[in-house]
Amino acid sequence: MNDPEREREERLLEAAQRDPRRFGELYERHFERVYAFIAGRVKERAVVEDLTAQVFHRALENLARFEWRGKPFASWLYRIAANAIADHFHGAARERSFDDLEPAAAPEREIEQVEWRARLFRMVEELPPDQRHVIGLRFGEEKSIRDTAERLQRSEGAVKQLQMRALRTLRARMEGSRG
Amino acid sequence: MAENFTLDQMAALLAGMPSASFRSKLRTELERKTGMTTKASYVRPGLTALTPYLIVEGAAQFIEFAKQAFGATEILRMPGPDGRIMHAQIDIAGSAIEVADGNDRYPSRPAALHLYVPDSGEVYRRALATGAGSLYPLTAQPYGELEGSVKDSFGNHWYVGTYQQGMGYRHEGLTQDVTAYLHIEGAGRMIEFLKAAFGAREILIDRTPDGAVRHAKIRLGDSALEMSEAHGQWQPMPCGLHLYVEDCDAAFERAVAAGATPVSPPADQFYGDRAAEVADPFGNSWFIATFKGGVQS
Repeated sequence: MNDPEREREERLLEAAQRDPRRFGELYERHFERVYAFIAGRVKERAVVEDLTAQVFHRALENLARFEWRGKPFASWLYRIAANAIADHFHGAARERSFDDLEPAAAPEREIEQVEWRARLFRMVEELPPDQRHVIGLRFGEEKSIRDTAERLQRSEGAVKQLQMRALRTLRARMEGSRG
Repeated sequence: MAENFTLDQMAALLAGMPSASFRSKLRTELERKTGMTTKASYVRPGLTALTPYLIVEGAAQFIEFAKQAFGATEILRMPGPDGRIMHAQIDIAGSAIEVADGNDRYPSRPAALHLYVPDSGEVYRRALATGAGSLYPLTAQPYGELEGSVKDSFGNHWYVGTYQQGMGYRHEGLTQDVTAYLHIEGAGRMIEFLKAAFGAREILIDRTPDGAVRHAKIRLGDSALEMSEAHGQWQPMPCGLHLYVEDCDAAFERAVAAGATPVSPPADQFYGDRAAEVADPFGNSWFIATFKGGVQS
């Protein structure tokens, strides 16, 4: 995170710590990466959604405890997410204290992939509307080509074309965004 | 990374993308949660929108009296170089009162407070035992309270009541045990002033047949202020009131436009508030503030 970006994040956090109603902007900034982190470890969509919701509720409830210690806010969210996943799979037999932030932070390689995928998710929003709708229905809502075509009142062939064009656009933009 | 992916692999990566409906549903959930649990961010943590600010001669002794008579807890004390209290905060059952020793700029001036308690008889008797004098004995009042009143040795009035006609010991619409009580010559005009200056809303106004305010409860933010037309022994006791508003500068301007006298223009304070002061047309001091973050009380 570059300096102006970090400063902005700090300002947002301070504002949200003072007034939780300001949490919305942090949510928007971090939604994709939390979702991508969990989706990287959990396959079932319903569970991914449930755990993502848990992470943001927990982050909001404990926002006052977050302190800058040289690590970005996202690391804190990843740790909450890692705990939520561990609790889910190993059974929440014990109530985890919020301060009990084990396990250790996720490996750097995993975070790199999560960030990359989160960026891909965000780029869908920047596609032309017809491509965006196709990608949203096909991958976000898990609709078949046929259902997508019905929904958008296009032919199945047109949906396939739009999907291919969108995937090419995304791939090109992801290449272009490498830094 | 991306150049290594085929379109099928890109599709596989997107297969895990979040649905727009989930994203917006979670956002709504979080908004509902913060909307329900959040106190206005412009109020300093530990305070509510309106806090009575008592300026007394002998603040330390006053705090002791409040502890013994009313079970107050001391939250904060800032002594000056001469040992006198520059600023203190006490808490009675979750309601804050701010206190300072009088000085040249702010001489001591007694105030009146309505104290709601579960057992007014017990508290009234304890106040007398702690050195207060009775203003009137425990009485079943026409407004539904079993109420007694005392005057402490600093000159403040305490109207100690238990509301007996509702579910709780406070009147409906009140959320705090301590409410500043003003005796005003022209209470109707005061209510109009409070609406214009600070966006006050009426909780209850009980008028006499000739239109005078027998009793009023007015909402300011999350707090309330009570008042009645001055009469008989209940004459004006102009006091200090600490009011948190969303925009100190705008409230200051509105108050002055509504007839208040400016005392100190809005300025950022070292303790993290933006604060200003006006005197209302009835002589009360309004310390108007917006909490900006920083030092916590």
